[in-house]
Amino acid sequence: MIGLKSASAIALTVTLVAIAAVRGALAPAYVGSLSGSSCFIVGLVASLVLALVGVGWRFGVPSRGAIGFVASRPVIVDDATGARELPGGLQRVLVLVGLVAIILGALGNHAAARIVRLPEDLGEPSPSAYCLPKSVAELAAPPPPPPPPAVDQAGCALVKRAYALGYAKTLGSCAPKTVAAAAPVSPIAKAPVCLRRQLDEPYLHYAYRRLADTFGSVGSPGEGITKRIDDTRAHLDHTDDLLADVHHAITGSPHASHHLWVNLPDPHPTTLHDRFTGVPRCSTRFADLPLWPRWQAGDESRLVEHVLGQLLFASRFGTSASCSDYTIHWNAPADACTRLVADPAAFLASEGAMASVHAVLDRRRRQIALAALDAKLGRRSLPPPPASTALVSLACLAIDHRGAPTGTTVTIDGEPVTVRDLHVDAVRVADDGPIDVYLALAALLAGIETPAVQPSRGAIEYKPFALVGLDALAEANPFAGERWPLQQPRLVEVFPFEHHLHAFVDDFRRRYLAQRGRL
Amino acid sequence: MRALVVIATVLGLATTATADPERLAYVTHVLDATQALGPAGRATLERDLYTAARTDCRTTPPAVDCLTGVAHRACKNDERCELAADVVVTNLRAANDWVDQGTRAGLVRASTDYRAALAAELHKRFAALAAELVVVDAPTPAAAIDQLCVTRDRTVHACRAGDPTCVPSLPWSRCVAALVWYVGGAR
Repeated sequence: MIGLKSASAIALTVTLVAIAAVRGALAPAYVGSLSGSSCFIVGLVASLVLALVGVGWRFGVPSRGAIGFVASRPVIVDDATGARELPGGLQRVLVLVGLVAIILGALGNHAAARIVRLPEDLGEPSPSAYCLPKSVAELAAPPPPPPPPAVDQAGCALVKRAYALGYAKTLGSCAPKTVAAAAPVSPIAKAPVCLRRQLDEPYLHYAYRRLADTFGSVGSPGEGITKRIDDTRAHLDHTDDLLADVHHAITGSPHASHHLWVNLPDPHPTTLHDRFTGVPRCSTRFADLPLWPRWQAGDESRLVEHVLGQLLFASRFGTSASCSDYTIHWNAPADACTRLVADPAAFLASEGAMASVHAVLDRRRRQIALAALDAKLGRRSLPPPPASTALVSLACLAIDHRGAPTGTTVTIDGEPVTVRDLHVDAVRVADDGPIDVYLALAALLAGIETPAVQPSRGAIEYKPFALVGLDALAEANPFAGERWPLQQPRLVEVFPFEHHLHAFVDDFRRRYLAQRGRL
Repeated sequence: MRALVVIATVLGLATTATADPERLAYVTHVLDATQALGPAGRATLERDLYTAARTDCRTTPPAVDCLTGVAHRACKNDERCELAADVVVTNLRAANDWVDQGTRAGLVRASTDYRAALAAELHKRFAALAAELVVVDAPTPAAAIDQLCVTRDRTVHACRAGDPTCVPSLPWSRCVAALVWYVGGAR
């Protein structure tokens, strides 16, 4: 058996020496390069650590436990008597050797020099606390910048060649251009004013200066207190707005509210299953709309919903509106907008639209009030919210008789809100009927004019040069009046709907989304 | 049992709802005509039409009437040649949409024969489109081409500018012309 302390001293020493050897701290070249001060510091630190370790180790006291071997397997024996033990002095030397080895790797010449210089460094003023004079090197003028590289311009190779051969008198827009070099800045002109403590500045003066900076332009501390009272009073004056703003943020009240009344049946009437599981989110419904589906009689509502989805929410056409801001009120009366204009509050309340409209207008009003508070406090305020007409809109699509779109403004919660009304004679699902729906909704929502229908250019037959003839369909825009291809079922199959629909929706969104906003 | 009969009927109608026979026949004819020309004939026809279109049709893209006139004159009333020429002039009109302006400017700078370089670049793009034919289950190559081109635009093809491996949305005619030229030229 061997005492635990002896075993530990051997194991610790071997481990530390091995680590130091692996890190190269015991290499003769490294040891030989150590300065006298380094060796002294290593010895000092090792001695101090050994003294600390010795307090707990108690080198002179024999181990209470020991490691023994039973059937060639080591076991720990408590209260072992008669265990072999290294002398205390030898244990101390072993631990010291290990400590010296590991400290040799940690404290080299550089570290020793830093330690030696520590008192001087502590006495020097810190750049983070004092304004230090710039060194000579910093004040020296910067080297002149290299000449800017010439810019290689795309598509100019032929022009340059023609110029080199004398076929052109000037290079024109292909003349060599260079990136404008930034003007050298004088370090003195650019140097910001140092507000930290000056080297020769008494501490009391520096403290006074910091206090004066804290109170800013107010001048005296008394004025600063007055300003703080004014600020608090301004906050108290706007308590309602602050709380309402927090309430809007927490409850997630709508950022905009747009309503469309249509006198067609709901294409997705709420079923018993929906009552239990909830209706699908609008973003799910409009996520993957088919490009140009075929419609059957009775699909009029679905067609209107599909067209609205393509115009506003389909992501395949780029930036879209947020469908959660929009509500379609199906089964609306044909004279919905007439009733709406006559008594907006009552009509919106009866249709369940008042809550969202009121929330948006209130949220906008609070934002304006908070912007005024920011201005009063001298804080940088956020951009003003969009106009109420951009945040709330009310529109009606009535299928009863043909009419031009009309618009008027009603006042809700003291804010102007636009009401637009359009009457069409029918919703046709066959042939070019969907084009009518696209144009009607575009006219209703964005005021886009409906073009006149162009005469037919005749049927296309599959005979030589049919492909290039059909390629010209890319120029026959049904949204601009070229409806004739859609009246030929054979052409509908190969018609470039993506091309035309993309252009139309893109144009619509550029106009419509510019009129709309969100809080 | 009755429900099974209804389902089977619906599925049968769905699978047998074939393409317009005339359209499919036309795609078959242009594919056959393109293959029949052979490599030398295709190269000659493409070069002749490209040169004639550059000389006679100065609009971008070249006008349909002008291109058909050029093709008529080049083919001298040979119907098979006209069928192949239809493919060539359709691809000619679509060239600027297939290869973006930046790539075309690079071709101008880097090559001595712009037409050949453009043709090689178009071949790469057509190959990317032809790879989509792998997933089409159709009895003949012409039917596969027609089926792919009719249905392809129903899904979104969002491509980054200058990405040669991504084929954007295509009208049926351009899709068919590209695939016929690629498939016809591969045999």
